[in-house]
Amino acid sequence: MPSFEYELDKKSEVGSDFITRVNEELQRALVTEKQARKITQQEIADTLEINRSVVNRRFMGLENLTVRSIAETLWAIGWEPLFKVRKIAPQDGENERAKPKENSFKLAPPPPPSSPEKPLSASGFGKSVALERV
Amino acid sequence: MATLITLSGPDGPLTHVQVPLGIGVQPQRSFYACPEFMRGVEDDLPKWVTGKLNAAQTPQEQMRSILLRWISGREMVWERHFKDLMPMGTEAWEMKTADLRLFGWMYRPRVFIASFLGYADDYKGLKPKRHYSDAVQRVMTSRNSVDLDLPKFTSGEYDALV
Repeated sequence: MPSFEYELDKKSEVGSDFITRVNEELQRALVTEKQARKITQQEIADTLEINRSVVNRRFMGLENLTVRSIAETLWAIGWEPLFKVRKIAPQDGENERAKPKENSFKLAPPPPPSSPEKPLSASGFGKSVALERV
Repeated sequence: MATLITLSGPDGPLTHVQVPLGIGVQPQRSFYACPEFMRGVEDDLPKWVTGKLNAAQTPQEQMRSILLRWISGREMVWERHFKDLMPMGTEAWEMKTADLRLFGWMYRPRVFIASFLGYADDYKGLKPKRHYSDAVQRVMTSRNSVDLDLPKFTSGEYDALV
């Protein structure tokens, strides 16, 4: 039997890869925060006024996250999302949409108190959103 | 007895499953599949929809994600992505996503052979449709039926295997 290459259509791959990255960033934030201080999922759940099982599913990558739930979950552990988009660079001999470049979704801890940036408000607003053309 | 290369050759019973990796990314682990697993991928997986967990990715996308994670050598978190099944001596493993269970065994470190594909919700709840004990038996049966070089499976510490 020959080898089998598992592929999906490009649209599905792009969407799926982005979901994976967001989940991995959420998990990275939680692991980092757990290493820095003892924080439990119950404390996060209490802060967000949701059930602990929901918090667990979010950090396990099992929850269908909304933009709001990403921001609020990160806020509960003292982090915030940093979201950027950019135009896909055309590749030689390829359709412009065929190969999206590395996307730029990253999460970062909130700026230190001395930073001139406005801190994240309790309502979850104040996330930095930027457009970058490459 | 035959090697994996022979078994996954044009007339062999195993399929070498691959997924396109990014430019410059080399495969770090291998994934082979028994015919039953491939039937699941080709016949069942396309019909499946997200289950109780209401996952963001479709089962078809989950399959690609877990294959990509495994083959590209990214971290496989024990219990979240990969788990040995009880009883431990059977050396049956499951690769996991929100909706999928990829049952199989470790042939050599970083070489997984998938026996069959399951739908996660079938194994959940107080009265599950399917049982893990049966899954372990199915893995052992398919492992015994493949004419592989001995030893047919490997065991050891998680980090050394994965």
